[in-house]
Amino acid sequence: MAATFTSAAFNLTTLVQTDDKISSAISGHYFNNALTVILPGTNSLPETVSECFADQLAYQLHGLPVYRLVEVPFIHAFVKNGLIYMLSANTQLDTHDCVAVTPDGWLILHLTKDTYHELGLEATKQTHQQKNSDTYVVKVNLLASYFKPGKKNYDSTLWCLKNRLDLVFDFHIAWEPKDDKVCSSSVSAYFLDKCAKVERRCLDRRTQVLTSLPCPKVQADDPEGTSGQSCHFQEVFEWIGAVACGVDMTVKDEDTSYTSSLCCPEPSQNCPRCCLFQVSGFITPGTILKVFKALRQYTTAHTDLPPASLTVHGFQDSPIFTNNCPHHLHICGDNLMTFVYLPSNQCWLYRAVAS
Amino acid sequence: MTEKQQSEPAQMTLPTVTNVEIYSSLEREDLHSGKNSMNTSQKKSWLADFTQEHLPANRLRSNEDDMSNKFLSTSTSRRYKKRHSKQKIKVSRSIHAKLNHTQRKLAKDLITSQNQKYSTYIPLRRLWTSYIQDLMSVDMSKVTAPVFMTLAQKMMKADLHGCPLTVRRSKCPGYVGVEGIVIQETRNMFTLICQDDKVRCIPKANSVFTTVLQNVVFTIHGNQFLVRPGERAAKKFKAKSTIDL
Repeated sequence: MAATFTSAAFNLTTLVQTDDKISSAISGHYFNNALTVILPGTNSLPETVSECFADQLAYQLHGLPVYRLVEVPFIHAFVKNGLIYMLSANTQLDTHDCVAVTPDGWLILHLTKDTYHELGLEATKQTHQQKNSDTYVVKVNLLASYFKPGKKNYDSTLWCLKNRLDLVFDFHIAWEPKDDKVCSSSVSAYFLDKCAKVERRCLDRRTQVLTSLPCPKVQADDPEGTSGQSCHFQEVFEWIGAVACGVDMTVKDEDTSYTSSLCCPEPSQNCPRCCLFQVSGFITPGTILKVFKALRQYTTAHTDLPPASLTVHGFQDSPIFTNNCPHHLHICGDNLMTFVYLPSNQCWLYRAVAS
Repeated sequence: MTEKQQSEPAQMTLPTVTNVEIYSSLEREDLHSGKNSMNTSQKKSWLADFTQEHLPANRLRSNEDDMSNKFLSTSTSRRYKKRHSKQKIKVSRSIHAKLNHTQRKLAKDLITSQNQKYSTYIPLRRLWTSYIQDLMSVDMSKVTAPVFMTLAQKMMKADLHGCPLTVRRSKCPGYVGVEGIVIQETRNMFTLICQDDKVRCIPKANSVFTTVLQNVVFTIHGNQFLVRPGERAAKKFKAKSTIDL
């Protein structure tokens, strides 16, 4: 690849993954903004994959006060009996306060200095980046056994959130119930009277068909590309990103092209058709796991095609990255994972975090 | 008196005494052999009591042989640096007890006493409210923005004992939201009694306090207020560059 690789804010791992690691990686990445699927060799997305998005129910709550997330009915009904994903919308991580509720029962408040000084709740120990940017993270364990009314901790937390400041946010919310009989839209019914507006968040889909796309040759046992038969894994990653952005890579000679010097890594094969599918919205890890499995079935059925890839984008303004790891804005807030499907049930996982 | 004393030495065939006036306040027995009949230990104890009563405390330092602050120390550990930077005044225990006994007892009673009740301080609060209204000499309900400056100046010099204060913002989240009546104000601390009869000491530093007087809210930035209440009346407050905590 002709373009240089800025590795300053980039964390990249590529391993041949087992199924458990993959599912834990997916389910640990709670807040997903967008999905990109690149399928060389087809015109359109297979039916099995688009079915996964059918029963996805995500909502946007407008003007919900934060103390509602600490109330006992909410905790009993939604936090304990399923997987709840909530993220504050329209808030920027470096300038505003951000709130998130994770499925393992943590309410995370990522606060600016002024809000923290007025609120009166204790924060966790600051990391170096948090000290530099003067932000404080308050974590409340909603599933703790001591967190109930009558106890000092609960009472003071509720009082602080309710009376000290008017912390009101818009939220993205999605809930996957443990019990299959309960519909996940009950979370919207619960919040109808507690906030200003509840609206259904639909997914924006975009499908594009690319013709005669050069695809890199990938070999599972040779990630570095030393043998000359396959490409280096970093170049493959850049190629995936370039295709997703719609960069024109047909011009081979880098000097003549003005707009971009990106080209397909060698050795490559020409692919007559390729389907590029992008969907954005608030997507739960459960849906992504289904998509992953469906794509895996598809690629094992069609082994002669170049490798397919699935990219999961997280929110730029999410206060946590994965598994309660704090997220900051270094240059930008990108956090994404890419899976490259290789023959014989193998898979590469890339992770890029700009924080 | 002077004649008598002049005659005394003459009678006792002693050399003439100069500066006789300074001896005029002494008793007759002091000059006589009354004191000479004491033995050494009695004399020492008498002298010790005498010096304690009359000499100021800093004259009684006993570590004058300590020459460590005349030489540069080469030890780089922080503990030793700290010790040398503060000159340890080794005053005898009796001095400590005598000087601070009454002060400490009062402070201890105020804070650690079990029977402090919020209800006993409500009259104090009322007294303070009437005092501050007299001080402001302006009808609070009709006050407008231009008058705020003068009110703030008056508040800066006012005595805050009995004032119902609330901690609005603080670097330490444990102090945020504490409200009570001020029962003691020192250079660095406010001692408040809260409604649940708990006495709490809140440091002034890194906190912002508010008090409400009818419909005017006074905000006190603790970082700028680190003065003893008595000295605050005379102090000129300069405008600081930042009111950040």
